[in-house]
Amino acid sequence: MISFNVLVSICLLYVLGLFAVAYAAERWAETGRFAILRSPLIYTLSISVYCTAWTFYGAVGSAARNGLEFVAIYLGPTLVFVGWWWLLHKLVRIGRVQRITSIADLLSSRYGKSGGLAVLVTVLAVVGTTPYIALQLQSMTLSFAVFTTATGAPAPSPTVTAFYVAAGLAVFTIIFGTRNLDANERHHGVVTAIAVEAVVKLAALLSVGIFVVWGVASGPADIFARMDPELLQSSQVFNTRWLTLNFLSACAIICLPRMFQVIVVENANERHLATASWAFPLYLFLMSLFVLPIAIAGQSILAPDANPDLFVLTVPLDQGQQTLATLAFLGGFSSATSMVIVASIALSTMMSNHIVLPLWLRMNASRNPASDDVRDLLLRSRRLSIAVVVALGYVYFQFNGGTGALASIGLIAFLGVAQVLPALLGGLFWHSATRPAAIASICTGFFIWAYTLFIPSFGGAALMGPETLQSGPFGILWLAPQNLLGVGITDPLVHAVFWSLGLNTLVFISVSLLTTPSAIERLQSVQFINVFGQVSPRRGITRNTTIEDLLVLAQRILGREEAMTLFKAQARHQGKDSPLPDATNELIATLEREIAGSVGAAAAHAMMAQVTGGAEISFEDMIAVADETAQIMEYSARLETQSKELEQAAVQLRNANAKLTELGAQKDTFLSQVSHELRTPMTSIRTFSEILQDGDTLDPEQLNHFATIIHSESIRLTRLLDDILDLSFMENGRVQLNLETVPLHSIIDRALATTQAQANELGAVIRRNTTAEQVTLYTDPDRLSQVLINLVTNALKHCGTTPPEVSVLSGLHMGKLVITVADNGKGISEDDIDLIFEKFSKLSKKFTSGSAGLGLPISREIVKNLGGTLVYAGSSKGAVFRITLPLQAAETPVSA
Amino acid sequence: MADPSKRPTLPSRPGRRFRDAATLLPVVGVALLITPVMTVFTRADSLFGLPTPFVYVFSVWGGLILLALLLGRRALRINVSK
Repeated sequence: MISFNVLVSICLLYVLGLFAVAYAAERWAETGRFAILRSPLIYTLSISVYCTAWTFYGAVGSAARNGLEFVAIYLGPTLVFVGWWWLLHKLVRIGRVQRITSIADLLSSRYGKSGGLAVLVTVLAVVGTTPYIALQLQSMTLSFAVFTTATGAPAPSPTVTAFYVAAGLAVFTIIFGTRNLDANERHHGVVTAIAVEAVVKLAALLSVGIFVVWGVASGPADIFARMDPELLQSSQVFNTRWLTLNFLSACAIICLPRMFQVIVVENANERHLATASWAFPLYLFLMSLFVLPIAIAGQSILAPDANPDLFVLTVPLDQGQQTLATLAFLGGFSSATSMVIVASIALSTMMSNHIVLPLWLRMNASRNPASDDVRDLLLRSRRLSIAVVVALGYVYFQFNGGTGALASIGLIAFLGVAQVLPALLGGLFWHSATRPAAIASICTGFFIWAYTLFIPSFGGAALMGPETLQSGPFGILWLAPQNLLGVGITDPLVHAVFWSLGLNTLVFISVSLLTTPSAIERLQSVQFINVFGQVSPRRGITRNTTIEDLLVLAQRILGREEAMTLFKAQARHQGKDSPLPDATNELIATLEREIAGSVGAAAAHAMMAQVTGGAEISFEDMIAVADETAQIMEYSARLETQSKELEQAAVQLRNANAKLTELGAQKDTFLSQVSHELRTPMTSIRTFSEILQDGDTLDPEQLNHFATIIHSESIRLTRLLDDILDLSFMENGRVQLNLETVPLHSIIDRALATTQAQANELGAVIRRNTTAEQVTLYTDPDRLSQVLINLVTNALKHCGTTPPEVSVLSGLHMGKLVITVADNGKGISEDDIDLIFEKFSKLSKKFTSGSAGLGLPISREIVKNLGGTLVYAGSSKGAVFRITLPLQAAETPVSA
Repeated sequence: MADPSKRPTLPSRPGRRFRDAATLLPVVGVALLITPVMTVFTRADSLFGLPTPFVYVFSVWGGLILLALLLGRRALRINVSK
């Protein structure tokens, strides 16, 4: 048998070992060897602080009494972790981005950095955690007692044992929990020690389990064969209590201050969460695998009155397994110590940040002393808070210990802290959630929880007598604490969960809908809800401050060296040579976040406000931010328009360029054609003038003939040049028109008179409709008759039939004058239609001398200049050209 | 339901499938473990000499852990912290 003293020595050695681990971890952290400390494995193991002594010993007790019910306490967290994508991922990201230090800090930060809300949550957490710490102390004293009664050795009373344990835990926590004021509020030493403890408790429980199944019994089937059939009835596993326990434990894994501490605050890397999502459920799985076999073994081999809560210890002891029992004892010890350590760290952070610091700030609001180091204040208040939290637990244990009441406190504490859940979830997913709603809902839930579950759990104590429990206060039956409104839910826990969380949620939603979030709440709600979308840091608001003030503040909280490092980095970031950066909005926002990592968002905000002079982000500030945004948006819209216009201009320029290139090519073609046309008459003129030069032998008749040729070729050349000039003038719209009102028939008369000789020569027949020609029009008669002459001449020349018949007909169509010139020839072949209006086009080489192919282009330009069109209208009977002209001035017939 | 406005580009496909699976897993867990569904699977009293509820709860639990393990490794590969 192990004596009590040996047991105490083992405990001391174990604690020394933990000290060594924590110390080594701190040293590693200082030398920058984070890789070992910051592995997903350590993170996962530290989360197992969820398994306290209550679960270590109590799970077996629960299994002995209620069968599989204990599993629900582990299944809830399993589902939360397996579904980390839903909630934990967001929570951890927000914790990292906003430098959240505790669950109270999270809620206060979300709801407009509210100090009041932070105090409320802190109080709730302390009330919920104190009995829990007492429970750990009780389980430790009980396990000590098991050994002392087994050995019969003299041992100190439970009170003394509990006192030493509490004192030892407080010292350990103070040493490693408040060594420094880390900007991220992480505790490498503590977390590593917790991870080691996690391994110890798992190993202990697995060892006892394996011993029970294969040492006491001969395998799983054998151990279950010894089970009392009443214990595990298939039909009884699922019921409302099962559902409630699952739900409660799922809430607890998020809301318990110590769980929030290890999952969110101590998280170094979001990727660790992906590993913990399966590794932590696996840990829980292994922890609960042998619980039922140990319970069965305890029931079958120990005396019927043995306390099932201690089966983990008593079964190995009964079987004479001293070493195994000691290991189990150490497992329970680990569970208890790790819980107390982490819980007191989490609570001390909350107490010092949300209660002590705001009080101090209020007392010192008027002065801004540079010498007062906030760091010292914070560290001292944390140390004190840890001592106070552990002391509270001890006092509670003294007051209430040993009674059966304490055993059920685990689930009661779960429900107590779960009251923040509606406000938490609302804050993470609902923009309309407001601070009054959060405060009202937490108060409501807290009150109902205390009334229906917490106070009745004292059982006939001073606060609430048995008659009040039975028939309600002052005999008002429907106010009976465990049967509100007579709903008739028999299980007090299920009853309390229903009423407290139900009304809590109802109040939260209704008050949110009735109130309007303040400007800063809206700002924070966007920061929280859209945490995955955001890239830009919080926008600061212009305030009056100097960089020196900020530096003093930063030094007071972060420490001299850290503050200087931060400021130098910021100065470098701003591109400045001096070590002091400018006091920009960005710097203020960064600094506030850094400070929030130490003292919480509400306090950080208050301190920055004190230094920078701006108390709150006012509505005007918000408007200013909105204005700025609007201006930026407008500017960008303008830029967009400009770029569009530029694009259009570029397209136009490209088109213009293409047109110019085309025109250039046309000009080249035109020049070569002109040169070609000019060359032919020039050649004959040169030839004949050469003959004339050495023309001694020529008789006068030949001389005369050659001179005539030269003359006519010169005339042809002149005419060609005239045409080209004419065309170019008209194409540029520079032609001089002599407009007058003339009768149409006089123009046609002139044109036909000019072509009369040619027509007579060919024996052609000219038709016209003189009646229809009795209109007057406002035009240039010379030019128009030039067009008609050209068309009639062409018709006579190219008609091809003998005798040629040309008709010049006119008429009115749609208020416009239409003149058609048609012949009785073959018309123009389809291939040539596109070419006839081109300059110098010679259709089928039938042009005779005197025509350079400029007639039709010139005619077309003339008509265009007169405001009409000249088109080739088809070859029904021959070639038909149609001129359409506006009448403009008058259209009445000259004579009736 | 496909939401085309969210991420229409092709490379997001593995990410989306992971998200869908990760979203679904706890729902499956809830359905199997804390609804009356579990009474359907635990009618018989005993299985291989072990009580059926014990076998059922622990196998579903183990299955969830296994799937979470596969998803967790996948999450690390597609880099969830982006």
